[in-house]
Amino acid sequence: MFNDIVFLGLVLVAVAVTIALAGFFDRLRSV
Amino acid sequence: MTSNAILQIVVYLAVLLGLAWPLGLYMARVYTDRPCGLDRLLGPVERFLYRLCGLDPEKEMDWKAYAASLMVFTGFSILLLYGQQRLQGVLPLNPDGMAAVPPDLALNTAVSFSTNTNWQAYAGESTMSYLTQMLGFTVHNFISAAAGMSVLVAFIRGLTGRETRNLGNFWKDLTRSVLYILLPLSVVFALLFVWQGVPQTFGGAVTATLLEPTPYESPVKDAAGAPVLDEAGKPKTEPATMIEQTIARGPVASQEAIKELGTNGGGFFNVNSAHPFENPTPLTNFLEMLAILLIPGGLCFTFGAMVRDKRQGMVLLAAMTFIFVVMLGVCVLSEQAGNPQLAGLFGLDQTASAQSGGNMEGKEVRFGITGSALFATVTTGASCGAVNAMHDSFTPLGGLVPMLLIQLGEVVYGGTGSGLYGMLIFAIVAVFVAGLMVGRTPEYLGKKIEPFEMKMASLVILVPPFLSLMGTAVGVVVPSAKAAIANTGAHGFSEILYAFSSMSNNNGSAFAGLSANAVFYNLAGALCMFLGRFWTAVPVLAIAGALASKKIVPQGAGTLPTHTPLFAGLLVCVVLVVGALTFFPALALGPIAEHLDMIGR
Repeated sequence: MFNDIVFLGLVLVAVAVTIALAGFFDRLRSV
Repeated sequence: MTSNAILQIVVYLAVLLGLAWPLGLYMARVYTDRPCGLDRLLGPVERFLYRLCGLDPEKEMDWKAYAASLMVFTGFSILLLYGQQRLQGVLPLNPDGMAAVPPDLALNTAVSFSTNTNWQAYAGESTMSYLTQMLGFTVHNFISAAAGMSVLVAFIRGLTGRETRNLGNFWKDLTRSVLYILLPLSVVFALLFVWQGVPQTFGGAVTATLLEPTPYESPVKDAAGAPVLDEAGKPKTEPATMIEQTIARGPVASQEAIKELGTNGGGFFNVNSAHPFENPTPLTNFLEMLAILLIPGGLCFTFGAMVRDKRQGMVLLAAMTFIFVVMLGVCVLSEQAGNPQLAGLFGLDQTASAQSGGNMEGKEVRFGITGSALFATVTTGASCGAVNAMHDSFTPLGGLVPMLLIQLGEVVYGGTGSGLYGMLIFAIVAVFVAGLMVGRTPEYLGKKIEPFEMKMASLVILVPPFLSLMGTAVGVVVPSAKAAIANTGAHGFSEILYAFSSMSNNNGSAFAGLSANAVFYNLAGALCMFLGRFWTAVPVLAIAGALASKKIVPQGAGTLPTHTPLFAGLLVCVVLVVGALTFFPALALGPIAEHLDMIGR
């Protein structure tokens, strides 16, 4: 169960970071 | 090369390109909302799905919204598949009583199928229930392939758009890709496979009584199931006789069709398309190879139709076909030549006309050298990963070909959608290189290529090699990773390099010889597959957004024509030089060293 929570949390973090990366690229373009 | 091999290759390419052309034009109609024939039948289903999900298919998205939709969708896909594997023991359609999949393997597999990789660290017939195979893997085969096609279509819209932020609607592209392209083709191919003898049943495994009981040495186990060791520390065995065999089966044909069409590659059985229930005849072998490259090849025609210049699509197709034929030639010739060490040791004539000829280790007799080498080239040129022979048993140069095709970024002809957008990124780099070399204006289809696009293109090209090489570097020093390889020396290095190249480029095929179901490979692999897929797709969408916002400038004297054979040659050079420069040192330590060792003894 502990592993399940850790792994599912990692998936959510990975998705959030990738969406944030898109935001970073957008700012990079306007620089 | 034998005349039989040449004939097989020519027939394959002729049928492939002959079918890809009409399919490509059909797909262009699907993505531009023009009548495509099937919309009369499936239009109500499509509209019902939008109503059911509360979606407005006409709502346009900019590139960030498109990327965010892709990521949210993928995140849910991974969570759903993970949960399904962990709960399969209490879910229906589990006639063989499969237990819950361990957490690290479930994570690896969920990421694998959601990223269109289909790296399999498990044996399907002894690990996964029918529900997991059908509702989990088969469904993900459709949607992960459709996601790749959607990103491609958004990229093409970026190239054709004029001063706009809009790239289309992700949900609409995803739905139409599944409904009008993948689903109809899958039904046709699944029926063809059933006709050829591929099982499609919910019945569990069957037990057959052997005609001839077979004696063998059975390991002795204690009450806890652990092996009992003798005084010398070796496992104790006792004589036993095998009188029955368990034959796994299930809903194979339906998974097989989309496995190839979506360039997914995840097999129902552990040995994938080498299994006689997945790929029973030479005809199914031909159909499977055809299915793998049909959509990627067709998308070149789709591209030409959508940018309203067929020559642009033909140039990309020509570049892909050239690299494909050269690589295939090296693979077939290497396998036909066989291993000279065997001839020297045993006097074995590997080129005799009485057998398939060449290196038959790890290959199925019903496919032979050409059917195996062609499949290996097709499956690694695309991001498929299905195998009908063990690449680990290929000759060093024969094994180098599938490995290098993966490392080139799978742009020959590539995965469904991902292959062509990868090649278009190389095309952008090519016009930029031409600009630097001969002073041409860096433009592609009338869109100026500026520093932002080059930064993003560099990321798309560099992320997978970085993951492949860093993963391999860590793999050769971590003890648990080294313990998983079956061979020492250059071949063992190749097994790790192939594994990380396959996962980082979302191919999914295994070199074999690597016990991949270990915590290190499961977790490192999941990371590589996720980053290799989405940290390339997001920059691709960023380029699409940047290009869409630009004017289309008229061609001038300084514009490099991108519809000529010269540009096709430049594109081939860029793909090969980037791939060769990045991976040559690693390949020198693996297959090249092994080849020199083989011929130098």
